[in-house]
Amino acid sequence: MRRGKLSRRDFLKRAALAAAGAFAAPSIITSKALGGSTIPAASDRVTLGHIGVGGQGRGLLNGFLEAKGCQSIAVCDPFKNRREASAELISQKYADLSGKGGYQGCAAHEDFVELLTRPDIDAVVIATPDHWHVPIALAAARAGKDIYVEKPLGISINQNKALRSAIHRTGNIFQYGTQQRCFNTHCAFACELVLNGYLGKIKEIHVEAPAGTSGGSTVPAPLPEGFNYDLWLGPAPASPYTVDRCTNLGTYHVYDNALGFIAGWGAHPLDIMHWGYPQIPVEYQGTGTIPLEGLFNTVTNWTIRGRFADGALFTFKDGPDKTTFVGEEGWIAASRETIEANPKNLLTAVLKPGEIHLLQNANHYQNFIDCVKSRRPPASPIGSAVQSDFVSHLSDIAIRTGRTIHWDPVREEIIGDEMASRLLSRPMRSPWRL
Amino acid sequence: MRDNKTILTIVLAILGGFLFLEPVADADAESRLRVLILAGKNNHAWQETTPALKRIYEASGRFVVDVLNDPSTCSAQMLKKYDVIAGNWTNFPSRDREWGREAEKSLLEFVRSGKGFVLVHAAGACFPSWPEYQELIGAAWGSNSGHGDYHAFNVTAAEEGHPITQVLGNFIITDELWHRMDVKPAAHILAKAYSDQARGGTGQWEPIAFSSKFGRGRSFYLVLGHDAQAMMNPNWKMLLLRGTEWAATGRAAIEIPFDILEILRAAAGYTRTENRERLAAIEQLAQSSSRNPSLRRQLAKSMTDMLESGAAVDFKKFLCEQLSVIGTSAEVSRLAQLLGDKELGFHARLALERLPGNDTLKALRDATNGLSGRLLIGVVNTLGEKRDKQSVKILRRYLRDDQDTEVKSAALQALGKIGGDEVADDLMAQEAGISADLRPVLAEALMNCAEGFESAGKTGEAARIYRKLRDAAQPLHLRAAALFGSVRCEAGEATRLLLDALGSGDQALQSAVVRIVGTPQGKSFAQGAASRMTTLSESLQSQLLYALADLGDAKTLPEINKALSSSSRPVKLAAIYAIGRLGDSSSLEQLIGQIDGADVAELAALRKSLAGLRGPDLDERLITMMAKSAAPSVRKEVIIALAARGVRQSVPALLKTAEDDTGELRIEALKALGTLADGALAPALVRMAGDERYGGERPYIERALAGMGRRDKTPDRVIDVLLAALPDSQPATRESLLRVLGRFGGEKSFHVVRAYLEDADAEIRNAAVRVLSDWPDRSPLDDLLAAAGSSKETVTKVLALQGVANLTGKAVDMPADDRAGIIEQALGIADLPEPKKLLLSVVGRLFSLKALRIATSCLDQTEIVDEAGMAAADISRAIGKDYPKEAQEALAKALERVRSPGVADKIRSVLSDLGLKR
Repeated sequence: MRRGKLSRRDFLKRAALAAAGAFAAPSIITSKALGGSTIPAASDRVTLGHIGVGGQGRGLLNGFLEAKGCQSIAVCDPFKNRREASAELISQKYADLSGKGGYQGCAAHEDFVELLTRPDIDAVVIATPDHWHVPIALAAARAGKDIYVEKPLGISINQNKALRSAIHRTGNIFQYGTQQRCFNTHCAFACELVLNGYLGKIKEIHVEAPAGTSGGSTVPAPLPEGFNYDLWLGPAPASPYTVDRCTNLGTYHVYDNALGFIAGWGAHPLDIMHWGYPQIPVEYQGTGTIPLEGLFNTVTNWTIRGRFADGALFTFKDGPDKTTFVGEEGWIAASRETIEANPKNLLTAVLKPGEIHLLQNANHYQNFIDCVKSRRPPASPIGSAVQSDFVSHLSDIAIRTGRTIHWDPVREEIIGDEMASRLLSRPMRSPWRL
Repeated sequence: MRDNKTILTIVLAILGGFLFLEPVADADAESRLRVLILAGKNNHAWQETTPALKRIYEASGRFVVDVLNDPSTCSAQMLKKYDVIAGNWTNFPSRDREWGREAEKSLLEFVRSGKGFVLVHAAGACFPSWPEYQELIGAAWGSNSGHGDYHAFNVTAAEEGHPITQVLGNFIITDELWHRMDVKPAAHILAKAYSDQARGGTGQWEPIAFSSKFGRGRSFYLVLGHDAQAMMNPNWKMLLLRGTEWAATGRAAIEIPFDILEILRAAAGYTRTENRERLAAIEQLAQSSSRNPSLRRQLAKSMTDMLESGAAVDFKKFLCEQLSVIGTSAEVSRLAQLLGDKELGFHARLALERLPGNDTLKALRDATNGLSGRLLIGVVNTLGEKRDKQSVKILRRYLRDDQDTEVKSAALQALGKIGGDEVADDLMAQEAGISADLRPVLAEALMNCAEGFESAGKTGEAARIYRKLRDAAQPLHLRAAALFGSVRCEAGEATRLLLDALGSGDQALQSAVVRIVGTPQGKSFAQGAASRMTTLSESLQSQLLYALADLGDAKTLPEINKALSSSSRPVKLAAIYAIGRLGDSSSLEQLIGQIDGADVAELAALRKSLAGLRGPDLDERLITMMAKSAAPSVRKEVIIALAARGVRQSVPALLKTAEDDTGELRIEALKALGTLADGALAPALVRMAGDERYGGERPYIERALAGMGRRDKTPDRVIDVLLAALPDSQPATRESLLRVLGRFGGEKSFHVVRAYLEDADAEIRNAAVRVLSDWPDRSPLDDLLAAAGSSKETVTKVLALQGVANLTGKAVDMPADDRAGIIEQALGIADLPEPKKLLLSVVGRLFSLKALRIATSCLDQTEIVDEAGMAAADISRAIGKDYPKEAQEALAKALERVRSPGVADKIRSVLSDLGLKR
């Protein structure tokens, strides 16, 4: 395995800083000078750094470029071509806006430590592979930055807890990338009906998410030009690079750096579940398929049965994405694209002013920027992100152990299964740590 | 030179792999239980399962096995030497008793005398007419029994503490799961499996293992075990072995069922480019040890032995991962020896990080001596993660100035996680001389210490650290967090601290103060903060207002009211929001006063707040305000508020406004009536509908009537009023009434509306067609077809055909062919291209041959050829796999005829997806 361009010493030094967090002035107050008269006043703009500008990261970048009140000033990625292309895109966009051809432009960093030490960055948008989500978000929180991070959350339950503590300590604004809470407004509506009792007492909740993928080459391959694979791996165990290792599929379906679609896609319908019914099951049991051939080795198909503390039933399996709440007085099912209910007139219900209203904004990115400014909790905050992600983990643990997992939601521990409890943590490759 | 005893030990170890720790005497061969497997016939693969069973029994070292392929030869004499009989024989589906009297008798006597009988799977599906056999086996495949797919399912040991299942936890097995077996009341259910309906099961937990008593003997029935593959599951093996042992002796002592080393060795060459089946088997074994300490111990030991062997590196990494879950203190020292290993260092540490216990901590501590660089940092990280108090002395060493920065950084962070008095002192001492790049790490570590103290109730110690961290030299965000800490730990100082921070001009600290105001700790400070609101920046003012809203302390209201007059829009909006949250009756004037001159955002905020404002007399005051001669802009908002607040008692006043006022106010009042009123008001509104004065607001009257109907339990009351008013109504009114009837649907309305299809007035006829076209169900279809066919007017015809398209399109519960038939009729009637195109778009959603033929036949009409081609493509895509020939013909014709390149492309792509030629 080849190392990247940084010398070992540099790398360790940066890692140390990254692990601890660096000195930085937080929040939007610091004034920054940027060129151009048609760009709105500097002090009104939230400055963004984008960490991870692959497929999803580019999509977020484009989304934030359209949002009001922010400006992207830095990107970061271990792939040279990606970071340079994104930096160029951003620079071009602002050059057009400011009318100045020679606009200085957006910086392209290889590693995120450098980016996080910049005092002129207010917030970061993290769209790295799953295993980096929490370590980078932690570093960002400790550097005083506000954070937008893609789903799923951590690759262990302990990672999630650590991030939550860090955010609570310093009050960073945190938005979880479960964008359905804003972009798909019928999801908010479904959850509002549940929360405000329109379905009566909830008896069952059923969650489905698309199945994962098997395959992928295990044959070692030469590293692409300009790619810092060691940095990409970071806290994940070292393993030979293959052509499928760091692709979109590779980031989702290799257990060393992800849980698979049980979390990667599951995060969406599980997030909707928690939004409408803010607790998680205390019992998990089920089966799942883990491929025995090929690079991808996360759970592909699964079926989990569970139970909430109040006795309501829970199922979670692979299927077209959907969250179904079944109450004594009817049911409602929301997926990304559609909503169904029985009785049908639930769909035309109009909420009263005194009832709980959930929708903050129809744009998840704008919502984040607005909340960075107002310091209000955004649509998808850390508390529920942690809980819905727990469900993916506990389901995965139930499958991998073959046993019923009992969860204590107060102490946040697995009850009565010492071996399974060891799976709550994922030791990290040195020098990375929580 | 080896003696005989040693040879025997080796031989038996190879054969049995049992946990022998001393030399074996010849007598041991006799202490093994003798099993006779009955085989020779089965509707399952007995030729494979019988040897499999034999291997399982023998590998355990506890059994000696004979196989009998003809059970009819059983006799008392022949069975004497056995301890247990294992049935792998069935003649299912035959119901005959095939073994003969002698054999039957000898079997029963065998068990009754105090020995055992074991059955596997289909062995319990024979001899339904032999009552003693049925009593013996305790459960059977009966006439109601069935099974779903062969798949993976969960099993639990139902009877806690039964000897057989004692060392078994829950597990997953891939097998065939039977359901609805005939179970005798006397049979004990030992374990159950979840029978998933999605896999052909019952949705229940079905029993899969039974034990029964028979005379002085015992039987054990293991229902799982459809084939040799299923029998490879280690949990299945354990059940079989312990069940057999118990059946033979009444006790189950087997804890390690097979040669663990053999299984590990078989995978020792594993590299990551290979199939992982052998690894999965080991993993399964590891998980099966969750309630079996002996197995777990042996397995962990054997795995660790393999770590020291010449096995492949990738396999060793896998073993470390397994050991991280099943390892105990027995493995610690050997794992620790690998901490410095170039290839396995991380994986050894991974295992140790997950292994609890003091031995692990000591081993990790000891290992720091021999490590450096990244490997050392890893161990330091792990000691920190494990919060090892004993590590403090060691970690302290790494804080010296001559130490590597990265190691120092790791040590600082680890110490911070460990916390405690010693650590706090060390870290505080470091403060003065710390280098700039390590300052944030140190601050973070101190913060962790302080929080640790706080959780332990040592607020004094925590406060000391928080005080230090409030210092100007510290990272800003930590200073803010430290301020919060100080407020919590030094309650007496809280107000002073917060005031100082608020007045400091440091926006990050001010922001922290505001954040604190929104928490329970901030309660006592809320008013103080509120009174200083104007000294803050606009952004902080609005933050503070939101925090006050969250806090909900009414005493802060006067300050919030003042903020209403701020020139800053965000502040104003925040104030409006806060008033809505914690305002009272007096706030009504405040909010109303803001209406004039409010912009769009402010109006939106005002509406929300007016809607949510709480107070005893608010509703009445709003009603009064609506009636009095207040400014129209105010009255408009009041009406909107009344509707949002659901104030039913405002309905009479709203009606008056609707009737007497004009323009916007009338419209708003009508909207509000639609939200608040019920069918009792229908007559009044129908009168309005008939009144020319309200001609301009007709749509709003209709909507209001529709709303009223929805508010009643059924819309009948409103429908009746509408129907009664219809006959004498003027044309314009009549249209309105018909449209409202169309919203409700229903049989009564339908008959009335359809009668208007024959009305003398063409406008009314068309209105009737429009209303029927949007009907909530498909009852008007026939009438619309008839109207399309008979009408001489183009407009009516087109409208009617559109209606047919619309209703047929929505009739998803109707069979596709029936829907296609209706469209076909409509297409026959249509003579203009536009309605035909609409009808074709519906055809395209009907996935049947008939629909395909209709689409194809339309290809002959040049003005709709592209739409027909599109429909053919959509239908073919859906049914092409089942009807390739028809699809091919249709698409080929379409490809010839269509003109649009886009449609042609689509047709080609469907052909290609279906694998058809052009």
